[in-house]
Amino acid sequence: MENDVILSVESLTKAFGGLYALKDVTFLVKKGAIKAVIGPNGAGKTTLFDVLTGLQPPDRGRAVFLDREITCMPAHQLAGIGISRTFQTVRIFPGMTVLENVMVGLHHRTGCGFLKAALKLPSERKEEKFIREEAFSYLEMVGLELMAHFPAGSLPFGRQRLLELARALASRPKLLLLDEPASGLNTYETEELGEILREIAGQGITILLVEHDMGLVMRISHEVLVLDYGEVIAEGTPLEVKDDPRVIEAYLGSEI
Amino acid sequence: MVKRGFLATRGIARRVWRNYKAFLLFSPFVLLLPLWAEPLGRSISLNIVYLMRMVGIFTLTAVGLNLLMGYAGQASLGHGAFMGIGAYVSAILSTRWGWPAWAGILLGTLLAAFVGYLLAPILRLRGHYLAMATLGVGIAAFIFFREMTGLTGGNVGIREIPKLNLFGLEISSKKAEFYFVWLLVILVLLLCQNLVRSRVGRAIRAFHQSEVAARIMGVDVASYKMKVFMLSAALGGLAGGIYSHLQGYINPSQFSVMLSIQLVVMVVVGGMESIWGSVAGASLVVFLPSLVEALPKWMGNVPAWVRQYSNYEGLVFGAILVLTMIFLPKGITTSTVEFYRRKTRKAAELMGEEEPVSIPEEEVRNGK
Amino acid sequence: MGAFFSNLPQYLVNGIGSSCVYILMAMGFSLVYSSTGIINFAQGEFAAISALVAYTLSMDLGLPLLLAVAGALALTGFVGLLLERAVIRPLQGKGTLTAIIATIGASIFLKAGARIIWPEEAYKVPEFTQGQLNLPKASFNAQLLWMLGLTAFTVAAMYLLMNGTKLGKGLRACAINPEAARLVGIDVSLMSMAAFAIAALLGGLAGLVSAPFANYGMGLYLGIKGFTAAVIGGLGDVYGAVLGGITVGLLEEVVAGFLSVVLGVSSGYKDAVAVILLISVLLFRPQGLVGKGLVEKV
Repeated sequence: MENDVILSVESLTKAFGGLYALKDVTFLVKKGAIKAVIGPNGAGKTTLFDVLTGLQPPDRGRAVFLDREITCMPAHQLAGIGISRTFQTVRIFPGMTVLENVMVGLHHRTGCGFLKAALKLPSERKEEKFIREEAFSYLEMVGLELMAHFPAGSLPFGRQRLLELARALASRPKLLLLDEPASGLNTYETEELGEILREIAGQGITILLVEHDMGLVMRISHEVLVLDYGEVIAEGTPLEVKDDPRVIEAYLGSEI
Repeated sequence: MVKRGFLATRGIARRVWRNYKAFLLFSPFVLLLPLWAEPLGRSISLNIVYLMRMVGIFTLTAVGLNLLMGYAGQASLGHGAFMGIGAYVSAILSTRWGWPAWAGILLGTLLAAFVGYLLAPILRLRGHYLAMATLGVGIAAFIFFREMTGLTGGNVGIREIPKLNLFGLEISSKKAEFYFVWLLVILVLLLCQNLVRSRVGRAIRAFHQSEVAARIMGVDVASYKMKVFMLSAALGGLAGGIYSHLQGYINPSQFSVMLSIQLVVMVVVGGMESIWGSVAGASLVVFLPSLVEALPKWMGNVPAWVRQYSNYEGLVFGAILVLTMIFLPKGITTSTVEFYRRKTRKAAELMGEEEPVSIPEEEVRNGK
Repeated sequence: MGAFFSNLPQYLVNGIGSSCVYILMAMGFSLVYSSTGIINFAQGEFAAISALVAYTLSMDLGLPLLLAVAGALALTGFVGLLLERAVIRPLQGKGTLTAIIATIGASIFLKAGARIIWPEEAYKVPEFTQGQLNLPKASFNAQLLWMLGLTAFTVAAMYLLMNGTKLGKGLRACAINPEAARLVGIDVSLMSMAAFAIAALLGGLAGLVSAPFANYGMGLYLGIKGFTAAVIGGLGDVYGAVLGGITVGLLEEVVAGFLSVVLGVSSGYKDAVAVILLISVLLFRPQGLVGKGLVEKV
């Protein structure tokens, strides 16, 4: 495998009762790139993410992340090898504070178990201090530090998306999968998000992004992959894809 | 030099106060209870000490069940089974083979945890299915206690279980038992509070609120569920073992479905996701019969069935459960705390203060 | 082993009797679950209440059997309605755990209420027909014929209700998607009431045919066995309930007979058979033995 590839997906297929959500999907993601996956509703984008993150097993095909096959890896092991994601419908922990949400993001980077925690040994206290400070720095990165002790469920929707992003970053991923991070955000918030994503990519984190907001996609992504009815119909730079007749047809077709 | 030492001590004191406020406030109150109760008269104070031992026992189980149900969100309607296992193991070992009480209790605790480990696969189930399966476990345990007559004495149960005995130190008076139980309870509550405020506690609360997100963050949900289940089973076993030695006799009807339901009442009414809520819930369940039975005595002439609380215990518990679910779904403790918080926040808004900004950064970083 | 096989016909005949009871209970669980998403932990109490009321009406008040039965069913149906209005309605959309605990509370409340009114350990509920009939290797009470007939009639009626009437279509629509049902003009709240009332009638009928003896506590085991039958049947349609009821009824008798005759184990373990069956089915085939069934989502 080439050295600058972080994720390689090979003929991934997944059907639900005879209907293909993914059909022979094959693509590569280069290290440090921002790659967008676009396509009409029901094109299989979220299924792609669910399969890549171990939430659903594929019927066929495989995905390799840094020379390691991740296709049938249990979801909770992915954080450990450097993959994290956010969700289309925000999945924060609404009853925990904003800070605690991000602290959960550091779960796999720390290791204190039941006994140490119950006895509150010095090593546990030291680890807690590290978790707290580290989590706080991620909150600062997305600008939520003043809301650290509010219940996460009380945040406005746009802030919840940022919180989810901070939580994902706290697991220090090499590859970050973002499922429609801009949906439900207003223009200003989307702008802000674009800045944050570029900053994240600047730190060497590879981003795979499902997004409907074409403006955002065109602005920040290096490469675009277009899915329609579970199949890859185009792949290339944003400019190439934008003028591809099949893409135009897929989008127009879906609007009728 | 002296000043620095003083400051450091003050810092530690502040941290302890901040983290263990409830313990510093409640523990003296509870531990000095025999003294508090003295002026109420001999029989009342004896009665209170007597019942408080039971509150302690039930608190041990309820706090474990709260970890499982309140924090981890996994219903168990059969937790009485684990108390039963602890009680029977210790009672059998001490009456038949003359084991010292502490050893029997220890083995009962471990065995309860082991049974929890064996039952862990049912934690794959969710919602109604898990509730029904655990109810089934409770019923099955009751049937085994009743039918394994060679071991458990069947419906007659086991009598003349020796008193608690700690490495040769006899704990026989009600007061001594009270202190033993409550020192243990406070220790267990302390450990549980540490646990829920740690990385482990956050992971548990996280998968309760969104299992998928917790898994993506690297939380091995199945393993955590199993460990919490084992821990809560062990606490039930511990409580059951002590219970058998305090009570002196046990029989299957003490560990029927009704016990499991009472434990659920303690957790739900006392307060989900609240360590001290378990104490409130256990107190309620234990003291309610005495209070309700005292009422008709004052009121004079009442129908015969009113005099016997056990006759309508179910009416009271059933009504409490339904009404709590409708009006205080998070239980007394948690709902009160939230009400108080909302009130202070409103007050802060009225005074034109924005709460988060007024917290100094050092405070924000270091915690609650 | 020989004794076991010579008793087998008797076990099967007994099992058919219990099957009828479990089929009726299972239909009640399935109906409520599929149209409201709730497992009603008080379903067993309907059976106890109806049987005890029938006892009072016919034995204490001396009403003719038919009237007593009708009165008992009417009252049980009313309790079902009341339960839906007072407990289920206020908790709409507050989560599974809340609903579970509330229906358990209702179950304890009803049981305790029944215990105050009917404190004895056993009440002899009148049988529809007295007498015993003999087969070559088994005998049974004439009541069994009534049980079979009533159960068959009820199953057929439920089938017609669910598939041939507007009410049935509404109930099934709520099962598939309550939001969509609301949009096409189905009164979801009314459907929930109807489901609980019908389930109460089914439970009540189960209590009546499970005679001869009734007491305040009978609901627990009837409930858990009926639920087992419902789970085996996939908690969905009428067929599933029938299949589940027969499975639980026959297995329980045969396994309990095997345990006591062949292994010499106490017959007190009989109730544990159904419980262990329940746990095994939940673990290994939570979707039921038939069809796709409904598996609760995250």
